[in-house]
Amino acid sequence: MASNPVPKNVVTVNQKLVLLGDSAVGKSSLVLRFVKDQFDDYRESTIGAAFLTQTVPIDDSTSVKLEIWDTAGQERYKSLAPMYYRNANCAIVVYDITQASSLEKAKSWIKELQRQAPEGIIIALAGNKLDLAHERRAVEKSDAEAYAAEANLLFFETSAKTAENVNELFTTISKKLPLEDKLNQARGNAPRGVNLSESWPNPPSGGTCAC
Amino acid sequence: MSFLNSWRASKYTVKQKPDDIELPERASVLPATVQFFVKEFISSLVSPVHPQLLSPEDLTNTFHNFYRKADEFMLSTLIPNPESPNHDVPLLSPEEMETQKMAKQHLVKQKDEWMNIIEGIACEYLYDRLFCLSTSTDENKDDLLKKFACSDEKNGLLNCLPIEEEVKKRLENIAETFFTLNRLKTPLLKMNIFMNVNEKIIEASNLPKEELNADNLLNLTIFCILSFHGSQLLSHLNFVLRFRNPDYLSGEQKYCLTTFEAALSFVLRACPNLLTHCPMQPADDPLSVEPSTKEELPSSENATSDIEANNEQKSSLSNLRGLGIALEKSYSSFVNRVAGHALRNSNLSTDNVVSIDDPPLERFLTMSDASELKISEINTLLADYKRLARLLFDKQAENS
Repeated sequence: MASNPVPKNVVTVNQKLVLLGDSAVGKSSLVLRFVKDQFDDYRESTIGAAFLTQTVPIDDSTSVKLEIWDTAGQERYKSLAPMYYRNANCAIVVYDITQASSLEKAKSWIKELQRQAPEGIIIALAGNKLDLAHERRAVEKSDAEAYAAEANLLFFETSAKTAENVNELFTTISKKLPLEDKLNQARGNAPRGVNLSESWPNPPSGGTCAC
Repeated sequence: MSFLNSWRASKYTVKQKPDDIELPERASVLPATVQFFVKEFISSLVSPVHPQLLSPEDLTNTFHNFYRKADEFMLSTLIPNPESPNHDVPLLSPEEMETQKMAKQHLVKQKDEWMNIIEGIACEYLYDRLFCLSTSTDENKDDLLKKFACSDEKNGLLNCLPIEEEVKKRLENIAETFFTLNRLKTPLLKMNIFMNVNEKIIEASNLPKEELNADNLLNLTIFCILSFHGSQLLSHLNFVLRFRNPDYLSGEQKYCLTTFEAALSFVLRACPNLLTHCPMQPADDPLSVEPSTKEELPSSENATSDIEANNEQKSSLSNLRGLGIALEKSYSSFVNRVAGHALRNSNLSTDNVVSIDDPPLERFLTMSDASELKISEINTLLADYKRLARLLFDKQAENS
């Protein structure tokens, strides 16, 4: 598989993206479409579509390497989701535009993320299966868009089948990420040097061992 | 009692100096400063200087802080920083720059190897204290998991997992790999076993990579865990999650460990004996997935609702599972608040003992009446009780 030449002096920042949504809305298809179509240097992981990485160029000197975590969509696994979205930098909540109930589920995921996910997480709402819009649309774009605007989310209607808006979705969310701190660290602007003679926890009075 | 006093006095009231700590042979490759740094860290943990036992979360943070400091130190001393204002940068030819770049890469690689050695040495030295932490609920959960995996009650859960019979047989064989965890004492080696099992699960599934999503992976992992008839799986996983240097975990490794963590958590939540066997799930436990105290009752009913629907006729206990878990959560929330309050106000400063070989705490041995017990001592009493129970079980196992 040929790989795109990586320009010199480009700083790459790792960011965790988590995919949430009901079963069968097309989460895995969406991410597979993105990593397989956009570039040909994606690295296939040993865990198939559950975990994939893809590098997205932000500008001439910066790239974001997205580590894309799939989550289980089955209702019985819903309570396990916090383990997957902890330390996430961004999230894509997917619904199926032909299933109105999947938007309701997406809304409940968004509420949960806004309440419990790390502060500053960037959330995008994606209405998938846009290729079926003419025959089976059940969720009006304007309704979902209004909800997204109200909840301060990025919004896209996508089709994993035709690839419509898939790259735009991932690229836009990558460009929204606050990278300043990570870039400073990666460029070596963080202070260097540490004093090893600094002692470990040593409270004034006696006590017990720690473990 | 004088015997106990002298035992304790000789073992735990004298601070173990860094120079008294003997590191294994493989530490000799480390620079002397780093060796001393490791000894000092170990000494700080085993000496009686802490006002109370560290919670799993605090201990994890202490280790991560230690790794970070060691890493920063080696970076600043080993690898030259060209941006340093005091560093004279000569004019280099492209070949010289390439050589310099390669030399830097070599140093970074060496630093990474040393970091793994440091982690291994510290965790192996303290293994008896770190594994199955006395301040955690690991032991209770492991017991519960083992009982559930050995009982017929697990069949209801297994039948809900859409896995072909042929694949199930392969997964049962794979579960045997978990036994290897017992003889490994470093987070890296244990983690490699979890990764190895994960790889084997994927191979056994025969699923095309496009279909290998989080749902399928969880189903397969849950089945594999329930096929394991050994013990302490959860303690092994928590040992990795707590003490493996997070900077040396790749995204894929983190994902695999999270899948095991989620699968174990799901099994524990689905276990009908949860109410009677494991009443406490402190928020500081990595396996506790209670997202926030803001949410009164997390959607744990959801986790079991599908299973219940399929097994209503099999067990009347299953019908009460959702309610049981809800009650258990309310109760544990109350108990945790009391325990947390007790810990914060603890004024037991010198008598806490953790090592498995220690005698019982004198404070509780000499107590003649329960009315003498302070609320702030409940947590210490519980931790000591668990430690002694574990000691008893170990001795029984040795004898048999």
